Order: sequence, then C-alpha cells, then structure tokens
Amino acid sequence: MNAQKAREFFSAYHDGTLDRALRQSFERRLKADAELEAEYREFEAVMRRLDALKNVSVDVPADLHERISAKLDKHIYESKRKATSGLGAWWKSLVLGGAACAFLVVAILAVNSFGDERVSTAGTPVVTQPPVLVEENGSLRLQFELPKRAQQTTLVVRDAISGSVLSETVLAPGAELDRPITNGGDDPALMSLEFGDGNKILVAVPGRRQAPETSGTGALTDYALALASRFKVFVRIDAINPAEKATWTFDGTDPMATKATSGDQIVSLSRVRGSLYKISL
Amino acid sequence: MTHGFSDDAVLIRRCQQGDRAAFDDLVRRHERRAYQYAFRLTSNPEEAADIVADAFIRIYNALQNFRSQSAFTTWMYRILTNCYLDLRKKEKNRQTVSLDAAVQTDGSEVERQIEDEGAGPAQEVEKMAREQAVQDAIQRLPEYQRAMLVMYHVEMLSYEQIAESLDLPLGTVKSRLNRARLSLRDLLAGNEELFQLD
Repeated sequence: MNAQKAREFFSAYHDGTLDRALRQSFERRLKADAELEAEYREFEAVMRRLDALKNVSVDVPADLHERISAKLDKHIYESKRKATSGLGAWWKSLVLGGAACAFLVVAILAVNSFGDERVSTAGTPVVTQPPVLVEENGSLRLQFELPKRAQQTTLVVRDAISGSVLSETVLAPGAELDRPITNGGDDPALMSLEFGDGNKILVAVPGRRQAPETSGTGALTDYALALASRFKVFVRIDAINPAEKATWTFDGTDPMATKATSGDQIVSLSRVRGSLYKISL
Repeated sequence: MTHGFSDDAVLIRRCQQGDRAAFDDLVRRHERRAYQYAFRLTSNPEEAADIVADAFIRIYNALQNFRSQSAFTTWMYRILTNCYLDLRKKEKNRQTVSLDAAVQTDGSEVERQIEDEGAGPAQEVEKMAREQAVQDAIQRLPEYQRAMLVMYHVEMLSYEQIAESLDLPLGTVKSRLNRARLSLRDLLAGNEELFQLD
C-alpha cells in the first residue's frame, strides 16, 4: 500500500470500518513511514477539532421566525397576484404530451415566423395563434408568441420534489431558444415549469425505466407519474389540488391510459370542480 | 426520534390539506436547526437567515409532492444545501470582508485582534482561537466539501443520511468526506497549536 492509497483510508481507519487485512496493511504502512504517520496524527487532531464544533453554540436571531414568515407571506401574495394577470389566459389551454423520447424543448419564435400573422389596423401586434406543440425528430417543441410590448420573462425548470432549480432561461420576444429538459434517471420525475409571470406548469416526465405496476392509489401527482412511467408520455397536471386522492387501474378501462396509448401526443390530467377529464389536441 | 418523525408526518399531512397554521408549526419545529446549519456554511447571519427563508419557501411550494418516504429533516437538509449552493453561484464574484476573516501580516495569517475585556482563562482563549481557526479553514473549502463536513461533524448526520440528502451514492459520500478532511488538514498544516493534544 503506497502513501497515497493509505491517505484514502484515513477516515475508514479512524471510523474502524476497514476489514482486517486492509487494517493490517494500513498499520504496516504507518509504521514504515514516519511522515505518513505524522500526517495521520494531524488528521486525527483535525477530526477532534471538527467533532468539537458541535459544542460551539450558534446564536439564532430572535426575529428569525418573523423573517421567514414575512418572506413566505410575500411570496404567497405575489404568486396569487401574478396568477391573475400577465400571460395567464394563454396557459390555461396549454398541454404537454410526449412520445418515447424524454426531451422537452422550449422554443420561442418571432411573431413573423407564424404563417398567418395578423396585425391590428392600429399597427399593434396581437397574438396570432394559441401555443402550439410540434413534434420534431422525437423531440417536443413548445412554441408561443409574446406580444412585442411584453416584457421579457424567465422560464425556470425545477424539480418539483426537491425544489432544486434544473435550469433557468430568460425568454425574450423575437428570440429563438432551444432548451432540452431531460430526465436521465430510471424513474419518472415531477418537474415544475415556472414562468416569470407566476404561471406554472407541473409535468411528469418519464424516466428510462417502464414501470411494471398497472394499478395504484395516491395523489394526482402519483397518478401522473404512474402514467408517465407506464406509457412513456409526458403528463401535465392541471388541478387546483395536485395532492387530491386518485385511484387507477391500467386495465383498458382507464380513460387516461387509453389516451396515452392511442398515439395522441397530448396527455393532460386535469381535475376541475371535482370532475376528472382529459384534454387533447 | 420516531416520535418526532410522526409529529412531522402529522403536520405535513395537515399542510398538504391547506392548513397554513400547520406549516407555521413545521417551520417553528425546524427553523433553529436549519439556521444553525446555514450559519455553519456561511458564517454570515444575514445570508444564513436568507437561506433558511428561501428553503422554507421551496419546502412550502413542494410539500404537496413530499411522500414521507424519508425523514422531513433529510429532505430539508437537501433543500437548504441547494439554497446555499444557489446563493454561492449568484455571489461568486462578490468579495466581502468579514470581521471573522483572517488578515495577513508578514506573510502569516492571524486573527483580527478584537479587544475582549471579559476574556476568560488562557486555556479558554486558546480553545476559542483553535475553534476559530478550524471554522475559518472550513470556509475556505469548496462549498460541497464544506456542506458535507458540517452535515457529518456538526449536524451529526450519518453517512447514509448525507447520501440521501445529497442524492449521492454512499461510497461517494465517504470518499468525498475523506477528501474534505484531508483538505482541511492541509489548510491547517503549520498551525502547531491545533495539533497539540488537549
């Protein structure tokens, strides 16, 4: 065992988790190498100092809870305010679907790229088409137009379970942007596509593995993940309460499963006013 | 701990049903621990408070999807660490000087001399100086190593809990922690007092 290898075992030896043969080899190395042994003694001292840190008190600000509550209240207020303005109406009819490929590509095309651009007689551009989904070489593209007078906005793609940001993209009218959003894991992922105006799309993205399960009980989000994993489709969740309970059986009678296997590109899981229904293009 | 786990589960269920007061209770249960962890990473009370607030906002937004398969605290550490790493990314070029930072004089680093009329016995002062040196050195480590060291040695998480929090294989956690400790030893090499036995 050389010195470099021995250093890799410092922690394991300190923890007492080396097997007998490795431990003996390590100890022989220390005995034979005074410099390495001195390093290990220093390593032990560092470990003691690190362990002592838990006894060092940290003063918690007296107003910490108020600060957290204030920031949370502000966030909730701004989210609700944004939900009633901005690009809101556009996204109500937006759905996402998927083929076997796990790419979701966001593209913004300039107003002029749509064939039937209409401009008001006053010269102010208007929205020419609702958002469009296009499949291209196994990838999905989301196309939409921003009125020229619109401010640039930001698309944040977030892991809806952990909250971590996966990507952040500034969207500007007239610019073209391609950003694949992939799920490289085996299991389906729940992703939140958040637009700067407060609108949010929750979508289940299939992973590499196809789930063997054909039935289950859980929340709407679990149902969406099960659909995504079983049928390798994107599933958008459009519900007031995504945690609402759902039960599913993919036995040929489930309407969502029928849709997912029919070749339709769009699969949307929605529950509005207590009714479960689907939307497709 | 089991009792605590089930308390969290009850609160989380209520939160998922829209009970804002339950979320408030959840925050109160964990905010101190969250702050202490964030402070250990940043050594800055303002940043630590911001990280904790941002983390609880993310938790609020994502709680509907939390399935209680792991402990809430494990999930909370992951979100706190992500908030910390996100903050560091944004402030990469910002340079601030902390009162706790070492200054360089004559080619060696010493602590800023802060007059303390209430200084205790010499041993207590030495102990505090050693602790400060270790904390300063931890601040010089890469963020990921810093987070792992704090999680293990201060927050007392196990290797398995750290692996779950950071979504890393167990072996990776162990080897990176070893690397972090070796790096810390390198940073502290030359500080003779640190390696004296207590």
